[in-house]
Amino acid sequence: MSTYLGGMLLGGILRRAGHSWSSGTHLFTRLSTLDLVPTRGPSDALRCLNGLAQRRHLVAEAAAASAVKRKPHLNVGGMGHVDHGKTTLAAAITKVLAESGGAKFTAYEEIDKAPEERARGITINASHLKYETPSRSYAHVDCPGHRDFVKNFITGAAQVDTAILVVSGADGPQPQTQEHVLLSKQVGVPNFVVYLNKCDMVDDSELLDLVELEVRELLSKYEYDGDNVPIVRGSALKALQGDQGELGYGSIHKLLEILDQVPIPKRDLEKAFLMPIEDSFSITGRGTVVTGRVETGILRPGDEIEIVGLRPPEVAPMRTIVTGIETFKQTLPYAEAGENVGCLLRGVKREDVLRGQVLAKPGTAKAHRQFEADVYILTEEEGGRHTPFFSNYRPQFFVRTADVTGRFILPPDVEMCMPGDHVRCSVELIYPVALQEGLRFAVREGGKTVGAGLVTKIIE
Amino acid sequence: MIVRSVGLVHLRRWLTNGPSWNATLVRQLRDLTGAPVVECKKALESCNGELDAAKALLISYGERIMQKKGQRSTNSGFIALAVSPDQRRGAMLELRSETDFVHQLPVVQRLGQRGLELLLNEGVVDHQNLIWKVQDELQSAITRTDENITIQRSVCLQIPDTCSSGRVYSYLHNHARVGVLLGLSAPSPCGRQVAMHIAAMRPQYVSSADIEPSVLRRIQLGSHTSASDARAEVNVQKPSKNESKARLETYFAEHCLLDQALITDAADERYRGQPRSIREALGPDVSVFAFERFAL
Repeated sequence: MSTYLGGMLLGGILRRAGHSWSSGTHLFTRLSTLDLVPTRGPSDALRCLNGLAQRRHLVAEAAAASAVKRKPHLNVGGMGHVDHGKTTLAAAITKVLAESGGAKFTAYEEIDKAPEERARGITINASHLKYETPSRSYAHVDCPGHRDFVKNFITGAAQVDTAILVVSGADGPQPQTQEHVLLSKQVGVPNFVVYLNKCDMVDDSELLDLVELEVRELLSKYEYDGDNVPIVRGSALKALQGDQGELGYGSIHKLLEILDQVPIPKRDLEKAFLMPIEDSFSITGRGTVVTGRVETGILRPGDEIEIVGLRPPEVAPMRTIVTGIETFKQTLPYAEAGENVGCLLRGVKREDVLRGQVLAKPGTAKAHRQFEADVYILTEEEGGRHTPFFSNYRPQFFVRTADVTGRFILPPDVEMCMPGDHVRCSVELIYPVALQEGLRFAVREGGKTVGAGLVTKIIE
Repeated sequence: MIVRSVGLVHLRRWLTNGPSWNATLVRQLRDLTGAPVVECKKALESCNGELDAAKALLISYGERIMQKKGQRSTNSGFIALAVSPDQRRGAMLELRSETDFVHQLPVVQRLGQRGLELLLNEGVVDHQNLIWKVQDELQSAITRTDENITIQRSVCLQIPDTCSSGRVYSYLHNHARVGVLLGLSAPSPCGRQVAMHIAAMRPQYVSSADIEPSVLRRIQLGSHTSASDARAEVNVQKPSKNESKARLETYFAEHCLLDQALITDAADERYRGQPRSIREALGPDVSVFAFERFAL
């Protein structure tokens, strides 16, 4: 089995490299970052892969070491009115943490003038900052506007596990603050921390009490726990100017302490096992091997799995046992999220498995044909369509490794969808594929990506 | 619970500092004016706790804010449009703001509605005059949102009295990012579809007759895309008759409304693969007066 697998995995990599949108480029880029695959091309990649077999133990050791050191990670989003000090607060956090070596100080102007980024051909309008406290690492993104934020959310460019709502203590919440909270609700932000900024400009603490009450009331209105939401009073500008007092550095330290306590969402490794099938091979005398990148969870030889998707709904998913796991000519004791592996399946014929199905822990994944989704349609400049489409438009949907034709059913109040729009609509696939809420997919037509989507609700 | 807390704050304030302001009054004043808490407090202090006087005082705050915010760039916005019940007039305006969070707020929507009313019912077609007439609504929107808000452009499309059967059709795209007004010489079942088509396909002219002769000449020479048109005209060799005819036809099909293929036919089973041109879809009895397309 070993000799086959090196070639199979490489085949998988090369095939994937062709799909710009597929998650498959992951290994290729990962190898590049390890300096094992130069950018010269596939034949070099082959040579390097042979070298990789010997060097893998080094990589594994390094990975193990870094895993020990790695801190829990949280994605933070700054929200609030344009003048209430989101950017100043972000700059102040980097300044305070830069002193303990947890961040690179980024001045207000640098954050404010962050260039547009491009990822997967989609223009992203958001500036990212990284910083870390002794116990956690953070990625901080400012929410630029409703439209941009929804787009970043759909494409997965900016994720927010907790939001810092910045409200000026001198002004109080503005009417649009409720739009910020509403947006957070829409994109499923679970937690809020409120930073009451510009408190140095208010000489009366009772005015601040009033502002706090208004903020709590507002959050409660949108079903957040307004009564218990942590509120930090401070002045980001003072902190940025180096004031060590309670409103300056004190407030930033307090904010970071609160962020350190926010529950970390479940990460891929802790979820149930799931691996999309990239390819399948039959090895004489051994059986069928399927290859792919483990998306979530851990798989051990002897584990029972289900093969889900691309079968008529009335046919129950096939169950089998994984008898062996390999990667790059090495037998593995287990495979975990993020690894590219081949799995030997007991009693499964090669024609029983297809690219686009998933291996999953029994009972955890279900195949569906109809779902609701938030979809962003790429503009012509982003490589998308230049003409609109209407209800019943039938492009290809790339869901994990599956490539299935489907149709868009636009809501009754949307007659037409133009490039640059984001729309909440339903999608009907011709075959059921393994789906769950929160799964991202690409919409392609004639070999180019025309849209990006996010499953919001399963219908059938 | 919140009312009780505000009450407590009020009581404590009353006992310590006397009656010139308290949290309940500040809250009331904020609800009335949308001004920041600190401004509300100052106004109440200088008016000795008189709510109405403080409210009047805050008008000057609104003017200050308008001047302060007036210069800031407005990168977001939406289109508002309306058509009169008899479909003889249509009005459209582009409202711009600093962020798109404010678009749905009643105070901003009201500003848009007032602008449309002025355009449609009171015949205020001059843009500067329109802005002058909506000053109150504009100031109220800016004070409430604390963002710069402007009316970027406005238009009123009117069917001439000489054409009694003329109708205005409109289309407002998803999230009000694109708006179209279309004036036809007679009612047409395709009116709305053509308006949608204009939103999507961005025609520049109604028909080829509207294109200036100098532009036509450059198209024939194949140099209309060049930035230095004048020089190109000299350098380019004269194309053959067939070539220039083909160039013109391509240009018309891309830029002239009547020559474009109706985009909604792409979704229609009857015309799939053989879409009608707008000219065919409207038929010989309906002509296009004018169209206006606003997009952000």
